[in-house]
Amino acid sequence: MTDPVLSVRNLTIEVMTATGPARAVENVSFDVARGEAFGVVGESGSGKSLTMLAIMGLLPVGQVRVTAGEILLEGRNLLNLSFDELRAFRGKQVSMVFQDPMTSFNPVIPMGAQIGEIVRIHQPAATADEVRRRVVDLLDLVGVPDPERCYRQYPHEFSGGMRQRAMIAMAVANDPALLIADEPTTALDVTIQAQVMAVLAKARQRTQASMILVTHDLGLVAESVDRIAVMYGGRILETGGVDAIFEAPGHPYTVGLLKSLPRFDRAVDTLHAIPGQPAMVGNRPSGCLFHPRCGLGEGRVDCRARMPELLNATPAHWVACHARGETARWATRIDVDLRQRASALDRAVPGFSESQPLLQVENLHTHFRVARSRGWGREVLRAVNGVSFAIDRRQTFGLVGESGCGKSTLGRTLLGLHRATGGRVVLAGRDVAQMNRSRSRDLRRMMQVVFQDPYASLDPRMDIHDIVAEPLMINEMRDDARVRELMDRVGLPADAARRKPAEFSGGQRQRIAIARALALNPELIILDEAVSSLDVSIQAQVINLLKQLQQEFGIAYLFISHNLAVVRHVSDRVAVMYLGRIVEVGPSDLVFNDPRHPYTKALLAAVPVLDARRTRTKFVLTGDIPNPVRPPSGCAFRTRCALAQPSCARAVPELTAQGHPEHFAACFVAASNTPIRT
Amino acid sequence: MSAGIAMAMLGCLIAAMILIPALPGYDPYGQNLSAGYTEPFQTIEGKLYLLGADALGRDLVGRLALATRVSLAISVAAVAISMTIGVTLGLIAGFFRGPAETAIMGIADLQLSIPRVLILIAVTAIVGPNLVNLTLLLGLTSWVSYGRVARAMTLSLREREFVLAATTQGASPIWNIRKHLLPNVMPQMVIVGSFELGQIIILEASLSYLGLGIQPPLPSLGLMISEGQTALEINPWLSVLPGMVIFIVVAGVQFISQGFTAEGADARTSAMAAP
Repeated sequence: MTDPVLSVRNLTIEVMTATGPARAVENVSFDVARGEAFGVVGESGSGKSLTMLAIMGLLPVGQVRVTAGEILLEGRNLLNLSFDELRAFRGKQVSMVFQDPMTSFNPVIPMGAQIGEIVRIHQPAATADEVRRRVVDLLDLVGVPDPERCYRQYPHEFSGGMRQRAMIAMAVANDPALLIADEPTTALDVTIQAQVMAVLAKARQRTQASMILVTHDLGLVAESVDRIAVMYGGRILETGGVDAIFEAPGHPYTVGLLKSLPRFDRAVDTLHAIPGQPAMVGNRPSGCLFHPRCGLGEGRVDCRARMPELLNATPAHWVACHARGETARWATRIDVDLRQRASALDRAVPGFSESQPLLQVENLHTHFRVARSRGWGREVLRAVNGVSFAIDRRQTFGLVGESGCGKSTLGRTLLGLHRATGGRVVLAGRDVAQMNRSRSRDLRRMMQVVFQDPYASLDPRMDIHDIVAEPLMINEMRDDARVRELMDRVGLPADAARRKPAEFSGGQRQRIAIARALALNPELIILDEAVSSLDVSIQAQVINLLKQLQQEFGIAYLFISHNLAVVRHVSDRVAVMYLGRIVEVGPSDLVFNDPRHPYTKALLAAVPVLDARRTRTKFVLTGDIPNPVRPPSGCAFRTRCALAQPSCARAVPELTAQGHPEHFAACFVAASNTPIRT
Repeated sequence: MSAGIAMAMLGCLIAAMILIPALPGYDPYGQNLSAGYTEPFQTIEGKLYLLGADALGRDLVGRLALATRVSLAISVAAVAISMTIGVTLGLIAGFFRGPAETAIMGIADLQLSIPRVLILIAVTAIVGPNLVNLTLLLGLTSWVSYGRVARAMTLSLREREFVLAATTQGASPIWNIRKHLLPNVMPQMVIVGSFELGQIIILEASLSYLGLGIQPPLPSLGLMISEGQTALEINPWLSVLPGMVIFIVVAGVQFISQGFTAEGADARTSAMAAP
């Protein structure tokens, strides 16, 4: 590779832990060529963000330090630069787009002034007018509508997607040679993610900047970069061209990651799950970092004894594995295994033929009175606005939608955490709303919940035994044997009982939450983004556990998620929500293979998939999700819809059957089955 | 580090308070008029006055030991009373919201708008100054900071998933408050309490100084400062020494509470970090 923009050589970073210094990043080397897009992929604790902070010179002072290696940017070693020299580099040569658009701006400075500040730092001679023109130009480049007006606006007046655009404008303000994007779209909805990635690509094209994209999303990487490095436990395990690696991964970890990813373009019954927990800082195994979780090495002496070097598999593809010659054969064996396990599962797909659904929701409304954003008084937020659906016993009902569509409010209303404004909820033949408090509480015990955030869902002051036992204690059914059985069932070690939640990783905490939800033998568990915050390999473990428990106990799930691939993988039937209403509902194969509502089509098109470059043309939904307090009249989706007609503004479309008795969509135009033109 | 020093300092002080009255010759009430205004380290009639004596010749070591015990007892009891009231009201306001919250927070704001010393002076004038009244009054008027912090924490904790999960399992409000809210609120309350303790010691001292607190011959730290004031030119130590004890106690408690804050930071961030 001639003249790389960035060249990282043998970088080693140590962090202070309770037990002394530990290597968080070890011997990492990679190059980024001029104009290239380079992806760094890894799960939490892989050291990818720390490496990026080291390149920016932003490592936290005191607890973290670089102990070896060099970082050459345009031929100069950043680690030897003084603070002032480094300052001249940052922003000008290398700049960063951070993950969280909510906290990356100063809330009391107008957007224009904040971006202008970056311009002024590196062009002290520029007049106020020149700076202003430059900023407006940048805002226009990243597709912020009406940049003149936005110049004066404060960060809170921007939506998440708009803020991330502004962040990109800021990052490219001084035409840096290298742009580091650290999980730039992780906090955004999938349709907004597609917009932001398009903007990023456009901004790069204009500035000719190289880019490092750090992400855990393999699909996103597949769509946006040329080469990748897969990091695990602070080391690079595999690096090379993205197509080559995804087609023929050389490292068993990469194979595991790819196979544990639910795919909505291909139905699989069981996911491959990498066993065990990731190697965390300060607790790294000897020999090959991955060997305790590796299905290929299976405890060979070599694997346990020493860390393999990164070696060539093909000229541009490097793998750090002792058994790299056998990876391909092993990967096909996994596929066979998965197919066998899948056929072993008896998969009786329940239809609507059963006498009575477990849960029936009719025309449910949940409205909130919220303070006006401007002026006095309150206005009504129709979070759930007339939703009807039914869930059969032993069935998984998927509920997808972007933020603000009301899917979580719907779940919480069913649980009795919000009061329904109108409509009926019939559980096992009995109307929940008709009953008095204690009776409805008894009935609601048939429904349990697992929430998204494994850190907030367990009381930090209780030990695991008490957490799992709590539902039993509340209902005066203390039973320690049952607690042990539940813990065993979800795969928690017996010695976990007396430990506190802080000692467990996200995936294990989610298992604890599942054990707690199972304690009262519920008929229905509401999974509110229950796997969304987990790493891919752990997510696959939890999904497989959920499926297994469903088989065993005959539970029905209401699976709420924004992740279409996961919903596709677990659900029998699916509903798509947009601004408080269901716009499409039906058996999951029909909805995903033959979507009828333009919103469903757009959602599916926006999800990055592994082999996207070859198979699909990109279709980006324009505009932001409207404010749910003031949704558009008529069909709420019409403002972003490619098929919208003037008549769509007049009436709200009803759900109508779409070529199959159980497949419904709420669209005036969809019935005619017009293909979407883009 | 500083918490360790502060703890050693307070430990010595408390040990001295307990041990000294047990020794002969340190009777806090025993007068010897010929030893009036003795300065520290003087020997009068064969007796060493380590810290001197007051106008009536009472040994200052014995009086300081008793005064410290009285002042600490009052302030610890007052902190316990106010913490109980404040945590209870704060939890009720934060968990049940609605009219209860409006009423409780209204009273809190009302009380904050009137200087506490003014209330104490007015009420003491009516009920009369004595040890029990003083303790109760200090306790009843100091709940606001606990109440506000407890309410703020409850507001965020009640929306946390572990509380919601318990609710869906049929937990009553009492269960949630007892099992989830109180244990998570308490560490913060201990920190607030350690700040309040210093404040109350000083408040007690100022009231006693004004003659509205402890009545002689029972000594308290504030009262001793006030008594010594008339003889500042003859023997300034009479006021300076109780002042130094107040300083040691208040500073010690503050340092310890800072240690709590730093140590508790991990536990609290894990309890409060997520939105």
